[in-house]
Amino acid sequence: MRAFTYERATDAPAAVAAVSRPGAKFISGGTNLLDLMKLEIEQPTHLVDISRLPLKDIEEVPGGGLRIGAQAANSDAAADARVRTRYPVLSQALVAGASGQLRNKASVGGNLLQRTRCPYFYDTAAGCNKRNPGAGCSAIDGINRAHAILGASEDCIATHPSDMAVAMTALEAQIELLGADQAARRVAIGEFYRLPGDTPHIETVLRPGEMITGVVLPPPPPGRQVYRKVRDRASYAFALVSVAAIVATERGTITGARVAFGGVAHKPWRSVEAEAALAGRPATMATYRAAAEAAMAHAVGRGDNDFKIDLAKRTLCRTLANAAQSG
Amino acid sequence: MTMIGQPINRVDGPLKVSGQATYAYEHWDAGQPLYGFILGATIGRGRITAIDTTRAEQSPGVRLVMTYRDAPAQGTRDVSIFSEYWRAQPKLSSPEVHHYGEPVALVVATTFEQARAAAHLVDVEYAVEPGNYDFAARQDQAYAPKVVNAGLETDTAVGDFESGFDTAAVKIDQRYTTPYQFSQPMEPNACMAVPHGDELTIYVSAQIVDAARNSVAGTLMIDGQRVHVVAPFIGGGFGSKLGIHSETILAALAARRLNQPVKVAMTRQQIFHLAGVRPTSSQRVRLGAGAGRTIGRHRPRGQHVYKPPRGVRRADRRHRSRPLRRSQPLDAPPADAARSSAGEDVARAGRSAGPAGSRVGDG
Repeated sequence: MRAFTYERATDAPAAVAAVSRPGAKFISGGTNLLDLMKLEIEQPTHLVDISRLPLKDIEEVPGGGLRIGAQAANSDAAADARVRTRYPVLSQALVAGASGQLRNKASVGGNLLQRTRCPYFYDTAAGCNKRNPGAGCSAIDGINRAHAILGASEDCIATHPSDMAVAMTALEAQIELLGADQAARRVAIGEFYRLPGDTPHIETVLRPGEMITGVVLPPPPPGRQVYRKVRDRASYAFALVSVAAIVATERGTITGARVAFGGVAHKPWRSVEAEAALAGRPATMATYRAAAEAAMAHAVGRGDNDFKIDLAKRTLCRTLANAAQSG
Repeated sequence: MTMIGQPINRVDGPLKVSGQATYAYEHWDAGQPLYGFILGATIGRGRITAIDTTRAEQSPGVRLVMTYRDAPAQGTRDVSIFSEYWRAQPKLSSPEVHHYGEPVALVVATTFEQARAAAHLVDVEYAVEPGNYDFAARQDQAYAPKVVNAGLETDTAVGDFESGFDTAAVKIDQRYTTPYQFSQPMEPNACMAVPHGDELTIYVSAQIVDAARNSVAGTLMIDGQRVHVVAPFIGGGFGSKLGIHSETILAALAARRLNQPVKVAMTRQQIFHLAGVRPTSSQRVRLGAGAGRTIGRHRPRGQHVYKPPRGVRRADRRHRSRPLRRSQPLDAPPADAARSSAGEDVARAGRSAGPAGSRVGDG
């Protein structure tokens, strides 16, 4: 671990001002950053602690939405009665992630920005374009069972590890940002993450020094919400495949659907193809299978992860059936 | 007899679950120890061509960076000693790399974090040699070891298997494979070595203290009476703690060099490479039976110890069997035991009987 200096920001404007110095990074719960610093994958020289900023509240917004402060703990967001009632897919996704101890410590903003768990990203002896641009990707021809099947590039096949962000993608959350110039802006979560392309080290559209201050959930769309996560262990494991689905039905016909996948891409993967294949169709397994085929039409396996294509299809079918029949 | 069927706690159970059991890495009797961190090879097979410890040595808190160039002379692995666990196991003894993760340096510093950070600053260059890694693809290289696990005969036979199998009315001929299996105990393999003049006390996570003592003494080339082993609790072993490994030898070498207590624990990842692996295996089983109900013939062909099940041996005096065992050299971590607490007799792991322990994957 490299030596670093530390300061605790007193308010959001001071935080973005403090992080403007070279080598500085924000630290919130630290559940990912500290691990990466110990392995010297992240090497900040200065940390600006934003975990005590007054950004923990979960509050109603006009028009029926909910705003979750960036510093709200994952466990608090998951347990919030309004989240559980109106956004159950988000509560389920949060509880599916990490462990109780980590959820108590991890913030909502930090969860959005956690880095991939690709083992080659963590192994400093391996080539990784994300950790060391231009160094090559050891995963593509390596042990890539956990890796991406959608939207990957020849430079990076890592996946985004968050469960929470998958649910937020299905919910079309808006991410509130405060810039180094003190200007606030909002970015839709669908626009927030980048695919790896030839710059896998750049993961979001965040500008230098920009800080996440909150997440705004629009009013929930009609329909039943379900999050389903498939993983190697029943607890404390990242998703091989996960699905956030919101399905509305009327007399056996799907009137609206939202579908997002986790564990399959460099970002939470919204499948508009699956949604289009569901809308207006009967709520039957044949429809779900067609949606699954549409969702995975461009999926590419890299060997060890070939199984994920079928797993994603089946997980989607099961999740849709669960959401539609119960709703 | 009165214990059978009774819910009886393990003697160490309450201490372990209440955090009062003191593990090897946690002893403070000798005061503040130094921390060692193992740097593993990043190639599968080859040779160190250059190793530069300058940056690591200049890193904060570093007290020692030991490599093959300055590690002391050590005893060699003596195959005349019956069990591997009692044998010397020299570390950092040559520039040769036999498997991925094999120690190429030990960095000792005031804190664990300093040692780990400095380990990243050891600059190692390798000449990579082609290695043998694919068990399934290279079974043509299988050879008959002189003896197999526990000193048993390599090939045995009862009766004439081939003619019996040829004429059997019912035949089964199947191949069964098992994957590599690893021991991953809760407590990582760890050791604190405390020098006292010519004597050495090792606090170590090892289940066979006599083996640990002999292995350390043989490696350090000192009288076993001068090595004291303290191992009050084991936080799980699953085979990996029958013998000692790099953590103990390297802690002992560094402690004697610095004349201070030094402790070394494997990281979770290092346990995969350095604490032994149950090898992958392939077993061809041929069974032949008469038209009646008895199985009379066996011909397993594989690497693991095999004995016909007792029931079969008793049931059919006419049984004929011819188990053959073969090993296959792989550039993989050394073969060792990996086991659960149950089912030992059906899951007996084979230990390499071949030469150059770290070279032989034992299948």
